[in-house]
Amino acid sequence: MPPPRLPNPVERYAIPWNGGEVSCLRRTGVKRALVLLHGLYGGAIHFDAAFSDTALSRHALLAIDLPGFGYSDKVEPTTIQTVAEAVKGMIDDQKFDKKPWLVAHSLSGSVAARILDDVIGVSLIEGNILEDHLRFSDDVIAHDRAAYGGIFSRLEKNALVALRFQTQPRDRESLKRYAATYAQCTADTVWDIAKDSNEDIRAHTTRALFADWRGPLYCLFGSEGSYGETIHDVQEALSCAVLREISNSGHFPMIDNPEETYAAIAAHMQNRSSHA
Amino acid sequence: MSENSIETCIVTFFRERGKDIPHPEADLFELQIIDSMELLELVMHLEEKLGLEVDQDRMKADNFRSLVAILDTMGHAAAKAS
Repeated sequence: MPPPRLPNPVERYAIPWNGGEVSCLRRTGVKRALVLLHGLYGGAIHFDAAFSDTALSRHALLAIDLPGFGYSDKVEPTTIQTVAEAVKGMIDDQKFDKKPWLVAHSLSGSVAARILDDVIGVSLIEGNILEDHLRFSDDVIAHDRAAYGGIFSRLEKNALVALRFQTQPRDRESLKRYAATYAQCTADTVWDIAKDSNEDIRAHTTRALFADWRGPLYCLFGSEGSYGETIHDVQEALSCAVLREISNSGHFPMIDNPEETYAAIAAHMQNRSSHA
Repeated sequence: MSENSIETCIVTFFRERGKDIPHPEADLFELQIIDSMELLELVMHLEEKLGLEVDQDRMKADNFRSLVAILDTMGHAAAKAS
């Protein structure tokens, strides 16, 4: 029996953007690329399990550090729109032969809605769509921008505990790796993007953009995630959305149960391709 | 580790912040005695001072909602460590 085919190597890569850099983790592959976008306080590293996942082993992967997060520089102003433009810049730079499939976690749901023309399909993981999904950004903008600096530094000190309330990483090393993203962003970045995202969701902009879109929208939710019963409101708001609950997961299904999360996304992509 | 030493540690955390717990079953969130940030600091404080680690499946806000709940959570951690 031939040895199993190993995925191509992962590399960190950056493009110049607005006087700074936008950074990503990427891997080439023979199957359609997936672009992976993290949420508030996060980074590309939150998708590290995708790079070793069997269901995605032949897909190209591009996990982007959003501007101001991970290894990417902040853009001014930091808004959903300017962040989406940076993501689009990184996607364009890859020169994929086919449009990629976008996977967006939490706050990145609003970013995803801005680049729908550039992708073939979208999977939102606990993605922000409705007003009920704003708990994390509400907590941020409950303080004014200057005062949030003090709150953020307390949060940064307690990042490990904060993540333990939200995720169930398999080991302490993974937890530390994911929590390190709190130290890579700044209070101003978090506050700016949280405020803009909140306004966007409350104005129903993200919801309207998805409602007008004709591509596949796959919404994944953790069985013990942040959105609870409101997942049914998503179906009501966006009749085209296909919902999927990921078992044994909170707000971070890609960390808590990566096998089920990525297998579900891969199967949905495959299913949509065969119907296309 | 005795329940008394755990309770002392909890009460000290609140006293240092100028807060008192009105009664053991008082809802600390509802009474705004603790907010989400202080909850993180409470867990950090208890784990450091008591040398314990709260079980991952107990990392839910409800398990820190009252003095009774916190004692139960930390008592469970102590029992597991011993």
